[in-house]
Amino acid sequence: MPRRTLWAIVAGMSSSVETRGLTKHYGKTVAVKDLTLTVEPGEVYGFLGPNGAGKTTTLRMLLGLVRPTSGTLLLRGRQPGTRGFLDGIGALIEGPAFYGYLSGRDNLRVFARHAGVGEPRVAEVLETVDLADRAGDRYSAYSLGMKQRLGLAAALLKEPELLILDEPTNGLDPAGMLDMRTLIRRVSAQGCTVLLSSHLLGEVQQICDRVGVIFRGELVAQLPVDELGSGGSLVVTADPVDAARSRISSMVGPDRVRPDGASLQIDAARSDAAKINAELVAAGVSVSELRWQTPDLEQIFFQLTGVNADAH
Amino acid sequence: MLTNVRAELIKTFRRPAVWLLFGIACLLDITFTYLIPYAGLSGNVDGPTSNRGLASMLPPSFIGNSLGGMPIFVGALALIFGVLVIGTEYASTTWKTVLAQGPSRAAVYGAKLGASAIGALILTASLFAVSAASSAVVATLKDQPMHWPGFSDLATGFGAGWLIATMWTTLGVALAVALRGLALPIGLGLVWMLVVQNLLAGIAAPLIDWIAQMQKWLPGPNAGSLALSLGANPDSPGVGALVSSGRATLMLAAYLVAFAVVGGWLLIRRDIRE
Repeated sequence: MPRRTLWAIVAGMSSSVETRGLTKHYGKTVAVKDLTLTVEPGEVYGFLGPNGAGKTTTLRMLLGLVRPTSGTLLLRGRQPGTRGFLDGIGALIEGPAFYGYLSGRDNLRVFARHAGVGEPRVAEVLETVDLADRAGDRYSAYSLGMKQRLGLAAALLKEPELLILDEPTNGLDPAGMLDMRTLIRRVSAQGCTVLLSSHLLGEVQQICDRVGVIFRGELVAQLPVDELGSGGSLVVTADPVDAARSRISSMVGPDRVRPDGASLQIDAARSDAAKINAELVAAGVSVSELRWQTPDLEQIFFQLTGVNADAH
Repeated sequence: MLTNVRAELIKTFRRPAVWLLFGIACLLDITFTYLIPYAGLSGNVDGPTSNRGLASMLPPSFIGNSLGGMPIFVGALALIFGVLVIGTEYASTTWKTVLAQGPSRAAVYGAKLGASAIGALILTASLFAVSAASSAVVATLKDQPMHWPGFSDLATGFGAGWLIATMWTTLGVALAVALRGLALPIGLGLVWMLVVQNLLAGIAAPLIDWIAQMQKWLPGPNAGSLALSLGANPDSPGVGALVSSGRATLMLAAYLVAFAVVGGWLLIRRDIRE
C-alpha cells in the first residue's frame, strides 16, 4: 500500500472518491453496473478498461454531467448538487474542449472566471504546462499535444486536491505522452490525488499506485498496480521445434508447454530460462529467441473475467 | 454569478461571428429604410421600399425605422445570436470544461441569458445609432430641419426594440438547449422566422379564420404590432396591427420568460450530452 494512502487512512480522512452501486442505463443499454470503488487521498488511481467499458460514463457521473440511474457517490465527502461540490477538483474529460476563436490564455481566463479564481493563476498554470510562450495564439492553431496540455492547465486552475483525467494521453505521439505523464507525476508529487482512466496497461503501470479494472460496465478488480499483470511465461523459439518441445516437456511437464505460432510458451519461473537454454543447446537444438513475456491487457482481462475482451 | 457573467461576456463578444451578425442587421436597416427609399426619390428606381418618400427617412421617423426589421429579418439574426451564445457549448463540446470548473448549471445559464440580453441591447443600440445617423445625413442632404423625437418616445421605442430582440435571442437559447447543438436550431429557427411566419400571415390567415385568430398569440405578429405602434412602416415584412401595443408588450414579455424557463428547465434536468 502506498505510504500516502496509509497515512490518509490512519488520519481518518474521507476518501477522495467513493461510489456505491453506481449504475447508469441508457434505455435498455447498461453503461455502468453496480460500480463500487474508492480512491484514497494522495494516491494515483488508474481506472483501466477497454474502449466502451464505461470509464467515461463513470467519470461524467462523478462530475455531475450525467445523473446515475441508481447508486451513490461522494467526492471528497460531498454529494453531487451540494454547494461547492466540485471545489478543489479539476478534470479533463474525453479530451480537451475549448473555443477555437479565443487564444489559449483567453480560454483560460474564461474558465478561471467560471471557477472563481484570480487572473494570476492563469499565468501560473500556463507555466506549469509549458505553454506560456504560445498562450497568445488561437486555440484552433494548437497541435493536439498543446491542446491536451491546455486541457490539463484548465484542470489545474483551482489548485485541485483531486484531479480526474480521462485518457489524458489519447492521440498523443510518444513525446507528447511522455510530457503528459511527466506532468501528471509532477502534480501527484505535490500531493494531488489523481484518478486517471486509460486503456493502456503500460501507462497505468508507469503512473498509478492502485488500479480499478472495468469491463463491460462492471468493476472486475481493484488492486495495487504491482499485482496487476504479475506472473508471465517464457517464450522460446528454437529449431527443430518438435525436439525443443519434447526436451522442455520432460523438464517442466508437458501440460506447461504450449505452441505459440513458431514458438513455444512455457509456464515456468523467469529464473528457469538459463537452465532451459543450456538443456536445449546440449541436446543440439538451435535457440534463436528466449525471453520473458508479461501478460498484456487482453490476457489480464481474460484472467480477471474469464472472457476474451477481443470477442466484444 | 457576476464572475460567470464576465466569463460569458468574454466568450460571446470576442467572437467575430457575433459582430458579423450585428453588422448585417445594420446593413439591412440602412439598405431597406434609407438607401432604397432615397434612390426611389428620383422616381427612376423601383424596389420594395422605394416609394416611401422623403418623410420616412427624416429624423422624426428614425425610431420606427430602427424597429421595422425586428419582427422578421433582424429577429432572425437575433435568434442566430441566441443560438450561438449557448449552442456553441454543445457544438464544441465545451460544457464539460465549463461545468468541471464548478459553477452550477443554473448559474451558467443565468450568465448566458445575461450575455444574450446584453447582446440584444448592443444590437438595438446599433440599429438606433445607424438609423439616427442615416436620418441626419438624409436631412442634411435634402436641407430638411432636424426635428428629433422626444426622450420619452426614444426611451419607449428603444425599450420595445430591446424587448423584441431579447425575446428572439431567448428563443434561440431555448432552441439550442432543446436540440443540443448549433446547426439544427439555427436551421429550424430560420425556417420558422422566414418561411412559416410568412406563409401563415400571407396565405393561411386570410383564408382560415382560426389561423387568423392564432396569429394574435404568436411572437412574430405581436412584435410586428408593437413595432407598428411605435412608428415602423406598415410595408415592412411582419409589421401589422393585429393587437394593441399594451397586449403585444405583455405577450412578448411572456414569451421571453417562457423561452427562458423552458431552456433552463431542460438544461438543468437533462444529462449533458455533446
